[in-house]
Amino acid sequence: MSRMVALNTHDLAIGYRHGKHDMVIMEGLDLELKPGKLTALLGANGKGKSTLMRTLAGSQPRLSGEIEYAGRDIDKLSRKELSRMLSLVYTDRTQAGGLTVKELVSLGRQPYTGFFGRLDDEDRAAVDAAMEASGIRHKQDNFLAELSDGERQKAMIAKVLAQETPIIMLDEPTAFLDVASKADVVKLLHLLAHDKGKAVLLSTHDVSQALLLADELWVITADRQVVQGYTEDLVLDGVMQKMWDGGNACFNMTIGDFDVELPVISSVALDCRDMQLRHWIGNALRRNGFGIDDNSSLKVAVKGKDEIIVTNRGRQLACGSVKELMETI
Amino acid sequence: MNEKTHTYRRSRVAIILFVLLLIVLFVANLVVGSVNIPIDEVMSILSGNGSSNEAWELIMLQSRVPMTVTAVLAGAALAVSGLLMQTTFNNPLAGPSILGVSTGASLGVAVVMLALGGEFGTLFGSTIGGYISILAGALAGAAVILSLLIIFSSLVRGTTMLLIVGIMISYLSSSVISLLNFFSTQEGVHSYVIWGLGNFSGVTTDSLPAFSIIIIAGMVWAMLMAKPLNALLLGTRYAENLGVNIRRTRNELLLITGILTAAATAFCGPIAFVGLVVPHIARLLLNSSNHNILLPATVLAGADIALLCQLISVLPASSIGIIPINAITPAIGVPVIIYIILNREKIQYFN
Repeated sequence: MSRMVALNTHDLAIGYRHGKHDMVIMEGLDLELKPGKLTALLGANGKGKSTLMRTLAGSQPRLSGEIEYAGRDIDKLSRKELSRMLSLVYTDRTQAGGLTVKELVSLGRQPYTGFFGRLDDEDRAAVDAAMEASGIRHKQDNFLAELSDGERQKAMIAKVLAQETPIIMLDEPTAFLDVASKADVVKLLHLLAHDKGKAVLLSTHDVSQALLLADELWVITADRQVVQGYTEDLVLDGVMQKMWDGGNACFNMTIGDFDVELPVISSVALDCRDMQLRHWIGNALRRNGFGIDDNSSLKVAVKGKDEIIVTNRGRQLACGSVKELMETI
Repeated sequence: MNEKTHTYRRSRVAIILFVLLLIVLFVANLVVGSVNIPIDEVMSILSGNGSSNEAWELIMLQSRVPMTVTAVLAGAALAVSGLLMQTTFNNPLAGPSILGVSTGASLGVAVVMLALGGEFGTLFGSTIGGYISILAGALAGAAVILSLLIIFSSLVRGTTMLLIVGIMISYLSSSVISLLNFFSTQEGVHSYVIWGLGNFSGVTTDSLPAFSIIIIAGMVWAMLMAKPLNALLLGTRYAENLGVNIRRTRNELLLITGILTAAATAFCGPIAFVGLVVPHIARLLLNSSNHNILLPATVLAGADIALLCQLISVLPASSIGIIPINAITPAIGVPVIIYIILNREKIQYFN
């Protein structure tokens, strides 16, 4: 093997077993999770993101195929060995509000502690380091119930760090977070992969954020295939659009996110050097039903945000704001 | 760091409080009763020096000591059962009486009594063989209810639904018990009703060692489960990821619950509210859900509450006799539960 692989699957089929009938959700999956890389799992709702994660984690039986952790068959790993290879963060509500952050993070040491779960010096050092790394140490004696959603997610990540596993899987880790906490959490995960060499897999709905920070993508397409590859290569190959078939969502290559396809009624030739201005004036034009076409007779020349000149059939008009521009045309 | 020492100091203060209360209530239960025995005589009898009054010695050794020890053990057993159920079902309102485990144990006892051709009255004077079959009946009854609860807890989502299922199962068991009573003799019904009111005086000096061994074994086993119990606070999926064998752990926990509830119920009747309320009192006073400290605290608080109920039940003894325990436990339990429900937003372990 030329390259280390943290987790890989071979011809994996996932789904549910109802008596003798298998309900297959996805099959023929050959996936690889690499150490030191942040991998984002993207897909529409109900396409099997959570099922795939649960199956990889071994908490749901697979229908067929193989799952290997660092080259070892998952069936040959004991519960304890698995708990030292993979750690998880779910969106589940827990009953742990009465635990302090430190107690929660200490639970991450359970795969290493003895029968009574007593921590030795090494365990305590690992717990402190984990809280430090996730930036939650200052709250170590606060109860989980006292934390904000973002802080609770950081505490959960600290628990995962204390578990010291080479693989970390997170199911929608940023789902309920505000923008600032989202950025904190995603940056933390990025550092875990790049600085600590962890193989991080996270499922998310936030496409633009995933594209920004994920090294690799697993994209579940509308026809239930998983396309795996380097983030930018997949984007440029047009894989993103395959997540949905039809519907109003369309992937905008330029901004790297999905937006809504709006009806185009007329067109405008837009002349603007400043990329930022061009983007936002284009946004306003698009919303009001104008497509951008350099050959259009209606011309808009932008010199500054309060100096926009509209030329229509030889007549010139100066506008002082975007609102004024929209009212003019 | 200040906050840390604060949290730990609070836990320590709570534990010391529980222990002091245990000592005070234990002595009070030995001293207070229909016959007035001076405290120096009590001490003399307990230390083996005997007493000038033989009747006092008899009352102490044959009645008050076994009754007080029984209250300590039964209270602790029910409280631990409640805590294990609350963590296992991830449901703060779970408890052996509310989910029907106590009723199941009662049903088992009723069936055994009827099958043996005896009456409930014989419960208190029977042979070792009789005790074993009664205990087995109680355990079987509790186990059936717990298995039903396991099945339903995987079928119904949400804490309230499981609670309703438990109450329904409880009704069903009660209806079978009514049927058994219907076919029983008048004396049988009477002694069953008296037993059902709950009391700690059913354990005689002869049966006390067996009762103590079962309860203490169950509690030691529960203490050994502190590590997986803490993992279960995060829910089964996280616990599994921490290396806990969910199925085995859950079965073990429910078996312990069954043993503790069955033993307490067989000897003292189906005592309500202790299992539900005591874990909450312990958590609120400790300000922690960590089972390493919560389990011992629950044991102590359970013993305290049972001793308190026992003390209240004998206070008016001289005029009207002993009040049934089940008339007192709701008076202590219901206010605590209502307090918790009203303050659940502020109580950490609910969020």
